[in-house]
Amino acid sequence: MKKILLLLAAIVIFGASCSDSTKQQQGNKETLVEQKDVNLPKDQVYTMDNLLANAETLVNKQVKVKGFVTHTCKHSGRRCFLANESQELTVRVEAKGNIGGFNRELVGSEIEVTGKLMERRLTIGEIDEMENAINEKRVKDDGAEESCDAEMANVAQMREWMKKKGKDYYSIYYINGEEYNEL
Amino acid sequence: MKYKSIYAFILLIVSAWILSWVVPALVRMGTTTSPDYPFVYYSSLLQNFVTRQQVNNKPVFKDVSGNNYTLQQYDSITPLLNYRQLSLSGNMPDTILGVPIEMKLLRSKSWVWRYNPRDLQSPKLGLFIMYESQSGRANLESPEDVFRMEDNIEFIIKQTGEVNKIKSGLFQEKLEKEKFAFPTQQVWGNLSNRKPYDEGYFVLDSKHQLFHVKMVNGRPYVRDTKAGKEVNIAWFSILEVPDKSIYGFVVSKEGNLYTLGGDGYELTKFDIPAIDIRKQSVMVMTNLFYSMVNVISSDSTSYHVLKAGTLVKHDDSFTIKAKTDRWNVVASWLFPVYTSISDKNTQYLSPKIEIGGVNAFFVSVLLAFLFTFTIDNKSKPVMRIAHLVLIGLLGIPGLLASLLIKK
Repeated sequence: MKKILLLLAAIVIFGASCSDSTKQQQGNKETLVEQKDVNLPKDQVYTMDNLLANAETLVNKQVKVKGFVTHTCKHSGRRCFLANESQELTVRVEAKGNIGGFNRELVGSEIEVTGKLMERRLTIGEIDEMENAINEKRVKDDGAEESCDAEMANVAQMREWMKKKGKDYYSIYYINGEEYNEL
Repeated sequence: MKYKSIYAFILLIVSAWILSWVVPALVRMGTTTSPDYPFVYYSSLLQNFVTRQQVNNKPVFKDVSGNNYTLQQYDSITPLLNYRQLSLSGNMPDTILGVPIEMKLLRSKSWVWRYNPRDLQSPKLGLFIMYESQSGRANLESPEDVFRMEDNIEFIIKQTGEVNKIKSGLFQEKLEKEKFAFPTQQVWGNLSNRKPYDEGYFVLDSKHQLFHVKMVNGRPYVRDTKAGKEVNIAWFSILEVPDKSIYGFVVSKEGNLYTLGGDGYELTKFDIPAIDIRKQSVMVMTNLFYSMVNVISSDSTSYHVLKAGTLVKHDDSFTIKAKTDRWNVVASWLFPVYTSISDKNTQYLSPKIEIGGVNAFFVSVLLAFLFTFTIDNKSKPVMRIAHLVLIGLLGIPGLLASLLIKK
């Protein structure tokens, strides 16, 4: 009996000491993702800044976020864009769940959205395709320098982010909204 | 019979009055002719107005300078009107006034709006339908309730007649929060579900402020458009334009027309003279570049062209006089004074006395003397005087009444 108990204790101790950080598998690679601010309360209302800072840990989870509506799809109302106060950060919100659509009069209003945070990953291949398309466009549309430069800057920004984070994908976060309240 | 003369006199007056309404009304039905205005459109290519009119059952196309065009030429010089035909025949230009043209763009910028004084002067039902304006469905579904908005807002379940207290309470609270002042003066909206989308209702409160009220995701949406602060609103007309650039049109008591913008409810004034809102009707045809405004009076129509969006005058306007209505000619000879109870500018009964014409007085006086000194020469003097006055004043209706009562 004593031997069994000792064996069990050893297994538990061994299991607890395995790792104190989560591991994610991407294909055949394992990438360590550092967790930040793990002690956020469940019913927290995120600001845009907080949400995007903790996005990696909140993917596929129910979140509440508040922000200012900068744009709604005028004709369908199927999505809107939320921004922080400085309008430097924006997140797309899709109308799902109890949200039939976003009316255009919401633009400029502050709303609180409840929904699931989703992630769309742009692979290196997809980013390369984007870059090629921009270069082709630059050759075809003589005089569209400004828009091409802006698009190339976006691509460069994505590559820089990936390099900094040590990732082979670029994350675009959006929310499948289920409910919202005007504040 | 003791008072036979008095009864006969009263009967004569009443008959003459009724006949002074019935006879002209019947004659009017048989003689009235339409003003026959041509269809006028502003050509973006010619930068001038062009007309289309039926002459001897054949269409005739002209510009205001008097130049004639064939049908194909007319299609070509009015591409913003006839884009479907031009597209079918492969003659649609790629650009117009330097703007690349796509069918979808042309369709989204084309709409027509009409104002009629009858809209202003018509009885109101008082019950309305609040659709869900963001249902996410292609078709609008009829709700289970209707609402009325007088001293408060109430949603009434159609099947039971009971008030939906929760929904009514939600809307009432929202209206009060947005400082809507009851009682409601007017509610304007489109009750039909046969429309591309729903924008609810525009409501005038007791302080003449215009509020936008609709239901979004099951919850009330209420906003003061602030339009009432700038304009003395007589009428609002909602229009679901394809590009959602405007909510509708405001008609002021002074006769000025405005659009209410779809981004922020801004008012844009039509650069045309003020209209008589109780007597003149308006038709606005808008395309990608221009808004053509026709102001229709009883005797003429004036045509204006404004820049689309800004509604600033683009070119000189012109006026076409109406063809003489045959009824007016007939009335001027037959009915010196007659009664009418209907008016094309109102849905209410509008009894009034109308003057036919000076010629009719001469004819009537001749008729009156003929009747009095030939057919009526055996009546009492009082009755003869009555017949003389009635026939002299009313003409044929008076003669008919005199003949009937004499018997």
